[in-house]
Amino acid sequence: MLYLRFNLDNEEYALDTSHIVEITPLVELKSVPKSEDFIAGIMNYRGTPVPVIDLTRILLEREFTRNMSTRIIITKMSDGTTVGLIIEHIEGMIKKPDSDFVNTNITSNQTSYLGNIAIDSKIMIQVVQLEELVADKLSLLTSLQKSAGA
Amino acid sequence: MDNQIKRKSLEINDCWNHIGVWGKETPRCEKLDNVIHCRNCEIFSQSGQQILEQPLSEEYLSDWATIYSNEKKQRRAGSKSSLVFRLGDEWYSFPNDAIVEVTEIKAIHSIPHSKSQALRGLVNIRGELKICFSIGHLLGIHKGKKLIEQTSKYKSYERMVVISHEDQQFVFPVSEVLGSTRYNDDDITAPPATIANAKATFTTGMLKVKNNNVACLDLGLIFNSIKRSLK
Repeated sequence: MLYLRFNLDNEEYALDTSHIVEITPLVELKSVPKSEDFIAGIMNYRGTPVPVIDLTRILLEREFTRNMSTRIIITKMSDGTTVGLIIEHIEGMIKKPDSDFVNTNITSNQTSYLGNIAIDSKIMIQVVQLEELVADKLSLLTSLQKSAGA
Repeated sequence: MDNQIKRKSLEINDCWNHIGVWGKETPRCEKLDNVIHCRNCEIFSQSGQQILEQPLSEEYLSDWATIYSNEKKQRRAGSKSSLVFRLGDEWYSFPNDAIVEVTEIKAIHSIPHSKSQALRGLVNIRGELKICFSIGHLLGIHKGKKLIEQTSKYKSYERMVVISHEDQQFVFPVSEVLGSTRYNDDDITAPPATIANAKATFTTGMLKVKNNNVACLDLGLIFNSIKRSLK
């Protein structure tokens, strides 16, 4: 499996690339008043409004930094929803068999989207499960997309 | 796209452009003895990191927002390919699957008492004798004034092209081979209706390759007229 590897405050994470449509630089986002704090805003992605989730807010509980290296990952869920994710410090791609990722048995209801861990040259990389992450926030997102599309 | 994004000026000591591999100043950087190339040096990668860690300007955000709000331009893959070559001052092409090989110019052994002017003789290609004909003669074109050779910055080399069609192979010399090009069917435009000479009948369409108008030749018609000229 091919993963997108990124670094948030010196912790390594990986995203399964099969959901990724495109990686764009940081763009102007339309802010959504009174929305959850992990919603960074709405992006005009090729003519369609796409909600953008701030992954640093979810994982680190801080706002993303507006750097040259900050990127928006446009992803498409299996149900067809398009969602953008803001991440910092993309390090590249890694190819690892699924068997390299080990279940650590540490689960929390709040972080069900954090998946298995692999070790790549002594560095531990944790998978962020996109579908779970988005499903976690989905009820909010669908209503958001409807209001944005209207 | 790049010039639309105005970067905030950042003070970076670009030593690699002065005492490094991209500069000519002396004394040379001492680190080069160890790292050999600047791209292996930590100063170089740190500077790169610094650029990526730069805060963004509002302009950057709005510029990229404009770019991504537009429809994505689909790059078309190009489903067909052709070998583009030059005869005199004009460019022609044959479909790639008809091309057997392109070789350097070889001696042509003329055939005595041959009446056909298109037939040049026999050529030894990898130990096999193949019939060589002048495609320029078939198309009714001459070597021309060789304007392209005079104005081009590059030296061009004459080549011999081996083509095959329906299990028959022929060789023809060309002034220059540009290379293989990929295109889609809708890239081909109809040949100009005003072309009155023989060229038009052999041309299936025109293709634009690097600002050159390339005539796509009809393989079947060319082979038929070669065979007729051999009789």
